[in-house]
Amino acid sequence: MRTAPPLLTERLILRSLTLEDAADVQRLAGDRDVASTLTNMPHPYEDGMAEEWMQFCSDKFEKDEALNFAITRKTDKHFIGGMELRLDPENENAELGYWIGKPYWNCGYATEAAKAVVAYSFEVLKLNRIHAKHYKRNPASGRVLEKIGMQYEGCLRQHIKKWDNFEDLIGYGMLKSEFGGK
Amino acid sequence: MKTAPTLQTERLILRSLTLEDAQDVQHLAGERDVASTLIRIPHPYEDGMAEEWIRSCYDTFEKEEGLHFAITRRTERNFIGVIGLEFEREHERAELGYWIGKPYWNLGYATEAAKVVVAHGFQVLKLNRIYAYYFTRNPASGRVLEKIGMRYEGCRRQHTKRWGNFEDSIGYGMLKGDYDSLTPISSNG
Repeated sequence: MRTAPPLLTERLILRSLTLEDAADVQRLAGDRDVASTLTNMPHPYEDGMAEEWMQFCSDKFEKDEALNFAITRKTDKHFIGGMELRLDPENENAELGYWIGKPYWNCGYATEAAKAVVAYSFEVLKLNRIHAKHYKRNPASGRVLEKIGMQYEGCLRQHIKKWDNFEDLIGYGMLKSEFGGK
Repeated sequence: MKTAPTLQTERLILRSLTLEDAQDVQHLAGERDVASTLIRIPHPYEDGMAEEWIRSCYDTFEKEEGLHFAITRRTERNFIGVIGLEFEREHERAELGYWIGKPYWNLGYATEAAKVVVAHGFQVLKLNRIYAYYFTRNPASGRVLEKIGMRYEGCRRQHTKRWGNFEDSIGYGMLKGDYDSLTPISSNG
């Protein structure tokens, strides 16, 4: 199974998902506070769902439709979260998505991982644009996008129905011409 | 088989597309100035493409994924353009899209058609949200969305590559609550 190429940052290793990650995915993504801000995250996260999701990621990687990274820590090799790049080759852009397990929140990991994936997108994949959306009630996710240099692009009001509530989505984007490099 | 509704306005009849519309679709959507601001219109618009597209509209209608109308004038019954909704049932929303043949531009037809389709979306289909995108270089389309009461929601910079150029897309949206506040209560009675 292959879902992404390996990328290194100061504190993290981003690598392909493997079936050995399934238990960590189920435990961390199964947390209600993690799942509540992610549109496609099942809840409760049942046995077998993580394996099924990884197979789906592998298929999308083979078809050049998406890269899915396991975010892991260099020091203890812990699996701490996931990051996805959904590719739209025709328009030379991609949508970035991510989640971090709750025990690893507020350590700057999402920002560090996003920075590396965005650099890879512009420098290696030669994309023209990267964009992302977050639930308005989850401003921490917006701060990640601000910190990596994305620009606010608007608010899609009540665009998503999640657990019976309509959620506003905030959009951010970054163009190749705005990417500083390195 | 379900039947699509027919909607009427002061000057227009919006009805189901039929294969007899194929020639008009090919002729009007084949115009470069029409195609250039639309993402999914092929160019050149070759024989058979219109029939294929009309069949795909039947298919999306059957699956409750979309609802497309031929826009026709009441007086001559002639075909002047297309308007449609594409649904995301799970999120109770739809995206509005439309085009008007060039001979019929600047007569307010898109606004008139969009108004009745949006009313249908909220009142009959019970949607919570209707939204639309247009290319920044086509402000006439934005004026349609303003006039029907939609609100600006942002700009996706260079989101679409069309004919070798990256195009900015402006997003507009309207919620059921916005719609209700625009509509006089008497018209619901």
